[in-house]
Amino acid sequence: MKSKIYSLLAVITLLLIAYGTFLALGNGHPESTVSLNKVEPSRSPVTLEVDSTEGFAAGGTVVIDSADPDTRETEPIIAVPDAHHITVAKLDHTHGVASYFPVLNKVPFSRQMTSPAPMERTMGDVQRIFYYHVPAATAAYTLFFLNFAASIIYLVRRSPAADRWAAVSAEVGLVFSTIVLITGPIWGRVAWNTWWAWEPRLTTFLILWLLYVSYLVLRRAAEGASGSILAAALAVFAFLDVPFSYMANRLRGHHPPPITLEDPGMKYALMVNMLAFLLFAALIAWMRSDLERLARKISDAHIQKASRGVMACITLPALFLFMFQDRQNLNPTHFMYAGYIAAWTIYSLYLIFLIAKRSRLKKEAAEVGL
Amino acid sequence: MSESLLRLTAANLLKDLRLEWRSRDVFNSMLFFALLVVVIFSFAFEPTAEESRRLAGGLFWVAFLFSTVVALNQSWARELRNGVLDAYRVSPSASEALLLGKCLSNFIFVGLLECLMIPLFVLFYNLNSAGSLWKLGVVLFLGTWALVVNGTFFAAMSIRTRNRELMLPLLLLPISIPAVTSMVAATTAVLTGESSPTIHMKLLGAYCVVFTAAGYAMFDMVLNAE
Repeated sequence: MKSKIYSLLAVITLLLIAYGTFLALGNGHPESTVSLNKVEPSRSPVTLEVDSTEGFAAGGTVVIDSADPDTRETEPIIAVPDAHHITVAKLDHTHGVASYFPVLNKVPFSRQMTSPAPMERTMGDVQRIFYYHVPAATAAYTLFFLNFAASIIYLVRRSPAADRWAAVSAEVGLVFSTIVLITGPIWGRVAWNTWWAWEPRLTTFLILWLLYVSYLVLRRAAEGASGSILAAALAVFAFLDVPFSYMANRLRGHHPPPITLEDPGMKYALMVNMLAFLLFAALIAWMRSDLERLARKISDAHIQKASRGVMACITLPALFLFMFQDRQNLNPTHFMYAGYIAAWTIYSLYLIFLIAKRSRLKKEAAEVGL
Repeated sequence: MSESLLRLTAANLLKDLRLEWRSRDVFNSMLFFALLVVVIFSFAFEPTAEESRRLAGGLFWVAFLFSTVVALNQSWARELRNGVLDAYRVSPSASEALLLGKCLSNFIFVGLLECLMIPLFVLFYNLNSAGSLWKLGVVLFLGTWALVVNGTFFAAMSIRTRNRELMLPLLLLPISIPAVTSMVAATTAVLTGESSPTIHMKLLGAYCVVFTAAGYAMFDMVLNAE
């Protein structure tokens, strides 16, 4: 029964990841453009001058946005006369007094589901790293919270299952947060023009990563029940540390702007990927937890750590780092692929580690006759 | 806080002070270590008067963070050698008193060390505070307590692991990063007089309260971990 649920979950997760990656990766056109000329409200058709009409077609709908949410409106496109003009049926508000205003192509939901997310206007393809970065961060935060909850349960009830889940969630959470820390700078090099900014969320995440590395180091150095209690105490301290590190770093200044997704196609792609990677995290954690139970059953053999593999994955991109340190006019598409490749390298390395561990444990289990 | 806890804490504190007064091994090594760090930093950075005010806050706290680690490893090693921890485990007295006494004695050692090192800092780096000195005193007090209370707790934790002395910096440094950030920011703010240190001091105060409470609540579990 359990193995059936397990394989069903695995199939669903893999399909969702494939679909999410298709939505995130595909060669979407920029489905938004900007216009500068001033337009007045009118009952009759109005022609807007735009930078590009790629992806816009007569019969579709267009969203005319501006800084003021009250003047946002959605209008049907009646014609696309040439590569720089769109004609809409009517206009309710005045737009574009002094600054650029965005004109978005409104895509029907059925097309959102079947076509890749549109390309971001200013960042280009590199924004697509976002669809892997944010789900990995959410998964890491969830797993670290699970680690905290399991540690508290272990301290109160001393149940071995809680301890096992604490160990597993910290290790899997560390893998996901490594992905966040690698894909983030690859995106930042193009978007912020620097690999790393001492920005509060980034710094907090780095400290979080360091805290859980030290957690795994402690688990490795102290075995048995006493090690579990020490690790649980450290998990509580680590959890208490997070708000302080966020506050302390926020007070130091440096605030690159946060990203908000406006386009519904982007939101949909993010949602699919979020679901896919949370399921993926649950699946890996479950798999790892089964292995951990087997390992504990065989003996009180110490927990092998993923940290070694993680360290190797961090030193590899260093080469990449120096190559692109001083270059200008970077190609966002290449950086997008770099982010995806980096993420999958780590996921697959960790999966290979788990599979190797499983076959080794199975052999050992057979030897002891379990 | 009950009266017996206070008495026990005082007894532990006096015991530590007396031991230290007779041997002076922790204090001497800590003092020499901090001196070396200050000298090496001044060789490494060659600070001139203008930039030294900006650097001094960071250098000062890094020097004390490292010498605190040196001192803390020593302080529990002695208890382990003499079987104090086992004796505590079988005695009915509150184990928190051991932590509090140890925190206070370490606080006194590090505080004394700071009093001795500050004149040297002023001398080597040509310091001249632009802000008020009592604020610097408050920052020193809170910062030292933040380092010592977590350090003492994690030192008790790390002596229970396989690689005892090596473990303490690995556990203590990540946890202390927010405290160090606030201490350095507050000290720099006072020294340069360019911004207000109040918000950093509040954050540091909150850090001290939260982690003292957490250490107090969990020390019994760590001591009795079997």
